Amino acid sequence: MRALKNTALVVLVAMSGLAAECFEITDPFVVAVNVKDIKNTYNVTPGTITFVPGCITKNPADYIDSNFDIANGAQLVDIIVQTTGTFAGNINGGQVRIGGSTQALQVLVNYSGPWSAFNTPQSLLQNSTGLSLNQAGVTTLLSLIENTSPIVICHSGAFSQAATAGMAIDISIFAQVNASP
Amino acid sequence: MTSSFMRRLTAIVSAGVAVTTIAKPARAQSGLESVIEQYSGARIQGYIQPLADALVANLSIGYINSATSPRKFSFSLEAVAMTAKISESMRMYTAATPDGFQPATHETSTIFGGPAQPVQHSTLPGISYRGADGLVDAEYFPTAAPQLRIGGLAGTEVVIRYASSSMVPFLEDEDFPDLTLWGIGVQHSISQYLKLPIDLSVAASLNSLKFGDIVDLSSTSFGVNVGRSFGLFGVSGGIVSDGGTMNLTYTSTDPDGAGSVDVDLDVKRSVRFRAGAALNFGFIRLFGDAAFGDIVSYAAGLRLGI
Repeated sequence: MRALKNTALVVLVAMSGLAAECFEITDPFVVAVNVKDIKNTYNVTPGTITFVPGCITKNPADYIDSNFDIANGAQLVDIIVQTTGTFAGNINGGQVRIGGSTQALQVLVNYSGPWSAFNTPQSLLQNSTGLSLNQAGVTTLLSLIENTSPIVICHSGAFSQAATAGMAIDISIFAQVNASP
Repeated sequence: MTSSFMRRLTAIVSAGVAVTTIAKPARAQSGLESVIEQYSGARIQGYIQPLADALVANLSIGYINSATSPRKFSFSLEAVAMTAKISESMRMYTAATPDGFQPATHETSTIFGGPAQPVQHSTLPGISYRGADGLVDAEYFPTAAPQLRIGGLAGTEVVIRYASSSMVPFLEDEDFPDLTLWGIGVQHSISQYLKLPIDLSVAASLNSLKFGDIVDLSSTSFGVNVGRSFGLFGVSGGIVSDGGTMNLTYTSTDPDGAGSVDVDLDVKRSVRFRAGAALNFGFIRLFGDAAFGDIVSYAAGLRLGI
């Protein structure tokens, strides 16, 4: 009887060991983490024709949870440009430039067209009238995200006539960075 | 009661206390939570559905030791481990890419898949999208729990199962959130009413499994069993129908569906054939169980009791 009990215990221990043995967590386990809050709103000053309103800086803490360990690779998924307010004119030569500092900027996206057309969000993936992507800017953006570096975002462009009150331009960037929790 | 009975009862209770008091430190956000929150409610289903299917397949078995329920009072503690075979079809799924992306779908890893690969936009150079890697790299997905069995209640046996993270050592803190599992199974002898050459019983179970505040799975099963004992050895077989629901509650960071998500994933009810065997050494019983259907799952356990 004692031998049988010992056998039973050995079987149980073996069973537990087998369960643990056949169960492994992927290592490294990589998640494409949605990069958040890489966006900016430029509130247009009434009377403006040419705009270079200065730049804003997104620090790593603004766009990635510090608990993630960044792995190799990042993806740019979409860029959305939207205007708010009423304006009868056009945007000419609109640009979003991006870089690690104001001295090292690359054009990420160019956009042009009637202001009213951008009242509906214009994205690269949907309604992309008037948006064009610049590869050098994409490379710069992805490198900055992968290295969890500060990202400087700058607007520039011109209006076909003097801006009126209540106008704003929103830029949103949807990117992913490959990271391990 | 006899002193022998008391000694056995004390041994059973001591074993149960030992199993349930292994402590672990508090947990931070796990890999499972980190991956779920990257997906909207619409996108998470394909990634996580195989986990729901495997868990329901596991939780519905391990209750049956034999096809009959004892007529006299019985009491036992058991350790049971269940495991579901992960088939190739559970490793990849057709996932939707973000709205407006071309192609609109791509093949990528489920929670049981391998490393994910980014998909490039078909007409926009520089635009790409990637899903998550599979979290679990396994041929089988295990579940384990201690359970308490009380029999001899008018031909009915009741099994209560409970487990938490501290009892499942292969679920690491950084991979899965806190686990709470409970279940109740009932088996009622039909052969006590009929003169049959074999044992006949009906059985049912209700199970709940939670991973932190994110995953809340419930499942039910019911079935019919036949079997017979040959001295120390007993065999049983039957059919079991199991199904359930996995509820996910979390905050998504997916730009196409950011915000609070509360979504139910249905685990379709399926009918599976089960077969089991037991070796009965009196105070100790070893038992095994297998269910064959869309998902094949196995259970094995040790019973200590009277």
